[in-house]
Amino acid sequence: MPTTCILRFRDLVTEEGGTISEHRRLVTLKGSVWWGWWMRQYETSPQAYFQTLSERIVRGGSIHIYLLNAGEGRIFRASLGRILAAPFNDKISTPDASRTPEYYQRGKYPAWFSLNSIDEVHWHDTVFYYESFPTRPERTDWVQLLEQKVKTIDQLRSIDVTLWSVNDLSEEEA
Amino acid sequence: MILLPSKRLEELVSARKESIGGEDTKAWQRLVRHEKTRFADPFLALFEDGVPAIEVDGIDSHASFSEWLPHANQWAQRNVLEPRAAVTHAEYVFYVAWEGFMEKLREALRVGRQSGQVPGQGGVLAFIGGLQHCVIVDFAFQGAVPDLRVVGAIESPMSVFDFWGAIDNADVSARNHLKRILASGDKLVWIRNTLVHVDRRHDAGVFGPSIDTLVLVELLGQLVLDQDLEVETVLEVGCGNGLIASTIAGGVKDLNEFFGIDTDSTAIECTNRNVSCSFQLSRRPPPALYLTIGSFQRRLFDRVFDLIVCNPPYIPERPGRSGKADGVYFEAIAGTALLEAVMEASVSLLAPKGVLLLMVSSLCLEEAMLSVPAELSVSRPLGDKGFTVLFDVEAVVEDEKWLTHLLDGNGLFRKGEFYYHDLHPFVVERRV
Repeated sequence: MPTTCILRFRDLVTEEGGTISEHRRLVTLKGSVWWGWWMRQYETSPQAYFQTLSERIVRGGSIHIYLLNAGEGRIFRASLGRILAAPFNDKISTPDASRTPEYYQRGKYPAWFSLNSIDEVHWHDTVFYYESFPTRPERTDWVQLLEQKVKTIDQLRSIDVTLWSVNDLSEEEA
Repeated sequence: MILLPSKRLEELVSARKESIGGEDTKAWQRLVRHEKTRFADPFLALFEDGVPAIEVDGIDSHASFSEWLPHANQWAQRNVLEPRAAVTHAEYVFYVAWEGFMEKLREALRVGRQSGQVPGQGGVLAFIGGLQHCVIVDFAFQGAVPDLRVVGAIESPMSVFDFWGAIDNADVSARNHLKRILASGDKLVWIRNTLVHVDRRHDAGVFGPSIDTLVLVELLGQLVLDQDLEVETVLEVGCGNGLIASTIAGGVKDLNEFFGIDTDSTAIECTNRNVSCSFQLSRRPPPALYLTIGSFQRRLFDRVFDLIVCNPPYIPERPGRSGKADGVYFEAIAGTALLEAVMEASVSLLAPKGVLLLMVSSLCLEEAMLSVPAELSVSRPLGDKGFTVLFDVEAVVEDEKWLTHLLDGNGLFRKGEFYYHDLHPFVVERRV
């Protein structure tokens, strides 16, 4: 089953819908955009997980991931071309300011994702199964969720992480 | 390379060792990003006896470091930030220093752009590692933040615009960037988290920044900033483009008052602009700033100073010329009258523990030593060897009589088709 990740975000510094529109604008202008992934203080940057995703990108050219607007309950499918991540739990600036929305060009994040496209999808067109929670390895109590179907967006966002690893069966079970 | 012992250097070397071989792997990261090292140069702690002290892929000798520098960003993405890379602690130490440098440069350009000083695109000459390397960086603003691209690096630069060799060795794209920088009307120089801008069109008569200014700034960094010396009042005689003033304004945390004087009104204006940017970058409340247009006179100042800095003219007068040199330009480059006046005035202007940092050259070393008042003592932090730099003062090089006089055992020497002299900065203090 194809494993992918869902990244959580909210329109905290932009107007409603602004995060996606700013990133999409740069994809149109520049061909790709850097998406800064932030994590909560109690999360761990999942280097091994990023390594797995990177290896898949190298093999296949790109992979699909998802972006969840936890504030509005909207989900987007994006084509991921590259990941750059700070080692040793550090944070890094954007690899390329010209391909980063201005509002967070000066920010530092644990990882940056280079996206080649961003399209909205309807929740009911998606089928996800929980694969793991790479940023919260200490939450062994979540093991009961593994391999379970993600029922609703509300269930997804109730899990206190900014990155979910899921098996994406959207195309198979559509 | 200028590398003098200091409190900050000791801390950085210790943190480097702790991060690579010791137990505290984050010691280096914490220190390099700390407020107290904002004006320090972490690259100083990455070299020992001029050779990189850490193992980084592709950097295996002192000679190759400058060639490698234009590839540093690609190296970072490939060897450090790529999740599949097995980055070592040593490589991460180097990356943190490199990333810190790029970030400081980016921020300085951003603040400069915001102040209207820095153009939308151009090039910066950034000096790192105790003047061991000049990194040539092309920038282009994308919104508020500039994109930076290293297009070349020069090892042991002997003058500020000594990058003809870099052009020859650059690829086509880098060469075009370098040519664009040369042709630009904007001169941007960065050292120790201080950026100055000289507009060649508007500030046509303003000197530098020249290599002797950079040497003084580096010494200021290593002898004053890196030692956390308490400095509250400062006087700079001959501000020029404002590089020294800006370094002091940004880097001296206890600064209360800064006095600067220059005979050229454009220089004072240039200094004011650059110092203002430096205050913004420092994020501290600005101290009192007094800038004066006029000739230096002891009686203008009614206080003592913890630090006096002067990069005076040091080329002896053209032989056979009597009286005052003609024209403002010649007055600025010829004669050692100002050097002697500052030395004499320091007897009463220096605070009890005050320091005068004065640039002297092999061209006038003897005269300078003779002009030291009995109340003051001199030390030479760069020793007898000094710091060899290119001599490219056209007015002298094109004057056969003057040139011959200086070459005749008067501190100027020739290698191939170029001329050189040695800088011998003085640290002057009250005799105990």
